[in-house]
Amino acid sequence: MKMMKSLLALGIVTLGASAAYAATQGTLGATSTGTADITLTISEQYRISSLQDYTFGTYSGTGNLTSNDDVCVYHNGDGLYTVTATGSGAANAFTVTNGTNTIAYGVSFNDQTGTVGQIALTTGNPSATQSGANVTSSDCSSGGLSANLQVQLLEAALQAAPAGAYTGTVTVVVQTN
Amino acid sequence: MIEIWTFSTQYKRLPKQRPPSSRAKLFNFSALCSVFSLFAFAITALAATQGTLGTSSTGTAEVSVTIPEQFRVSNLQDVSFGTWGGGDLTNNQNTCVYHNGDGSYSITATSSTGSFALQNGPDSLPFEVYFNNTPTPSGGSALAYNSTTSTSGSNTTAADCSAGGLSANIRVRIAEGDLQAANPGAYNATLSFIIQAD
Repeated sequence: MKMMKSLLALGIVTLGASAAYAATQGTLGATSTGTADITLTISEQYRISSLQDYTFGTYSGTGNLTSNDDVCVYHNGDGLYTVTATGSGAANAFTVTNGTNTIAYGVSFNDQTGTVGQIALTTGNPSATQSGANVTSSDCSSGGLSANLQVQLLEAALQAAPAGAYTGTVTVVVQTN
Repeated sequence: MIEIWTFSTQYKRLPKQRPPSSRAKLFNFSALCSVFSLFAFAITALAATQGTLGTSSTGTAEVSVTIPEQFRVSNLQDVSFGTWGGGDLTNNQNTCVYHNGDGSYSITATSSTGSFALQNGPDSLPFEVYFNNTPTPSGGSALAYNSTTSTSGSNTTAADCSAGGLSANIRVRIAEGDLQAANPGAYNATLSFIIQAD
């Protein structure tokens, strides 16, 4: 009796689902019309791409080293997102290393191409909500690049560093705001 | 009369190079190939990765910079003794010697006159140059003309010593005996210091 009740409940649920998404069949007549529902779910999607390496070459001995890269940030819908950057140094610090010594660098992000209005990022901390992501194509092939990522090494840090080849990795995560 | 004479600074001087022999050219070609191989490796090793489409997206970019050995001497001042009125003439000046890393370096001093001597036409007036690797006027050692002296203790923080402070002292001395023996006139010279790898 108990099993019968359960089967009955399951049948009702199935019936309900069928009613919500159910093709209708045409009837016999001079014309006949049938319908079929089409359903699709689009989830929140994000993508960052068009990143380039920041290869500064050999330091001349004076001045800051700054490199800007316009990148593609895509998010369907409202174009809102947050960005989080981390470095490859100790405790995810923004540093490059030659294996022995480190040089700190800064990372700035702009939610449009170019540097006007950019914000400084601190490692591991999500930014405030950014806007203006490309909402058209995930590789920005339509609608264009939508953001800028800047890396800067300051003269004071560069002059205080022993000679050597320094490398590091900056990782950028784009996700829901 | 002894008048103005000046210092000038000079960065590392590169040695003159001979034309390469055919063997050297072959070696250079081989070396060039190696460089290209390294370059290709560098391109492979340093590559940004692009994020994929998803509920979050992660991309990476490599950051690289090469810091070469760097040297700088600065904060040099001209030495104007004016008109001699008797006694030795001595000038001390604290200078900035910068070298990134271990702070070791060598110093070489030369003069526009070919020796440590001021010139007034055919007349010359010898002087002595002392160098101290700390910014204090006492101590230090006499530099031999155009001779390299290895030392340490440069500023390693800022190329202009704006942080870390001045790091050396240069003293110029003209002995009273030489001054008394000199003909009247205006004497001058340009003293050059070369700071480079030790």
